[in-house]
Amino acid sequence: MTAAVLELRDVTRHYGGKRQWLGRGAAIRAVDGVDLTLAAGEVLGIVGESGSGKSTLGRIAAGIEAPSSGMVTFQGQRYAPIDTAAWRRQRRRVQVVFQNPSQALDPRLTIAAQIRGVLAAHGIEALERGVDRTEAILSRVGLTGLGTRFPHQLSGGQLQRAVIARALVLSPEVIVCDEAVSALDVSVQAQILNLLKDLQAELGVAYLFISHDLGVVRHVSHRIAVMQRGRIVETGPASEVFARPQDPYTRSLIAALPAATPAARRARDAARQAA
Amino acid sequence: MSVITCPVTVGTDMPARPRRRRLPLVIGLCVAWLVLVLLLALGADLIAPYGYAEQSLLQRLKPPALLGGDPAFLLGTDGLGRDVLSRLIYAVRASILIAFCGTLIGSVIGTLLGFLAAHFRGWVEEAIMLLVDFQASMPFLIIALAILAFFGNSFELFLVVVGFYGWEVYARLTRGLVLQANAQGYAFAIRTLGVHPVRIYIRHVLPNILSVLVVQVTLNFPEIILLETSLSFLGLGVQPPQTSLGLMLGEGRNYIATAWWMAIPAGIAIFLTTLSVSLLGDWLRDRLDPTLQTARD
Repeated sequence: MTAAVLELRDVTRHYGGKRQWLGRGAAIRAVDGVDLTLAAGEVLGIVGESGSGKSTLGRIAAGIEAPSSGMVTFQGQRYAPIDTAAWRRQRRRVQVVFQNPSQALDPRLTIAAQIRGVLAAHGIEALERGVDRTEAILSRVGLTGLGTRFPHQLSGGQLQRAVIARALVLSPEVIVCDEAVSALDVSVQAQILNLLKDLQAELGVAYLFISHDLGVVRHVSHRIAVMQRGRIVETGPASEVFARPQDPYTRSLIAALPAATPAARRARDAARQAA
Repeated sequence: MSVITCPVTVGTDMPARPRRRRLPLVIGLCVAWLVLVLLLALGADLIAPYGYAEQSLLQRLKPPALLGGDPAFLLGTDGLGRDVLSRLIYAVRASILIAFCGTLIGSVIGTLLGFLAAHFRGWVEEAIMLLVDFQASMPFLIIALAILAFFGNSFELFLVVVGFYGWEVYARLTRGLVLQANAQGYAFAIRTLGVHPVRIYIRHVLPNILSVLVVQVTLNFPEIILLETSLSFLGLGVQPPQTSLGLMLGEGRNYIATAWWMAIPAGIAIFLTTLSVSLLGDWLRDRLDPTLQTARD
């Protein structure tokens, strides 16, 4: 793989623990000393149960939340302080796709208007060599001719496509997908996952793909990091992690996966017995 | 045996009419009334047959023309022999101006403070919300009485005082809605795309909360007319010989048994105007909401 595009060094994020009326509240360590590297063009999956701190980690990696301690570097540079002009310029290069697409879009503007607005905010020309960027990106994500629709006129899968289009139109180097398909039903999940995979292969974007669903993560990731209680307990190539999980937590997660065939189920149950 | 005739509809080739954008009758009437009021207010000098202070003492307390009065005075005359119709037109002008300016000042200041509170949080928010609570806990009539009694009475000051009526409701509403949008919704998502907060507020958040604010405006506007009415009634609003709807009601009160035509037209004007604004606001709120529109189409 090529050079690291995103690096996290000993990153922690504590919530609470502020000074209160009497003494201090107990801090919650959402992220607790995490080291992580994302190479350019790589898909790194992060799995873990609810509350394991994977979303917080994603927000820190995307630069939309500051860590309590530790260092995050994006292409060798630290993120500018949140809400400064420099920070807004950096946004162009790291994008986030959230879980719920209907909450991520402005209900009062058409899809195309929202994408144009983002382009305008970054001072990017609407046309690229005579081709309308907005139309081009919409057809790329499979929403040809739907730019004039309002969000409530689209289905969940189409909405997530629109959100992906809005992220991609800025040609970012990293996209943090925070449970990007969890709110969609299974058949649509597969479509969106395939779209994300195709776009990744085509554009060479790096993904930090966060999900609680191991099956989903396995489908898209090159590498996988397993998180438990704010720490990364195991990391390695996707096939490796699935074939030979080292950590007991990873093993229990894999054992909990539903099996596709009765034979697979017998094998899984046997593995459970052994574990 | 009876023959059953079956109505057969042959060829339903009626052109697909665009059914949208039709104004309901009630709303049409409301708009018509408000346009009339606005025209009266703007063209008062041209339309009114007499000046608002023009007296003819020999023609005192004449009933309306249709009820046996003088045809020169369509709605009759008041206790000083002034034409009620002319005074009504000038009163509408004064009251509309006051209500319009008052609503404008209050909504702009309140909304702005709400945005500031939600954006900056911290001590800015505390200070603004303290003001809001202070305003909400004091009966406004007492504040207005105090200010007008202390600084004397001028039309401009009166406008400003009335403008501060109800700002705290806008501030509270706006703050809550902006916080909501910032916390988990589209505003947060758009912020992470690197769009400037001011741009987000103007382009995304304001249009989204406008429907709520419009409803508040339509509640606030009649309230201000009524506030003006109360203050003028108490003698602290518009000063005679100038007139306003509230002042006309106040002056007519003494004659209500003998010369009802002095107060009733003003009362009807207040009633119709406030009702029209409320109904129009309700209708506008539904129209402004794209999610409600498709549901209806």
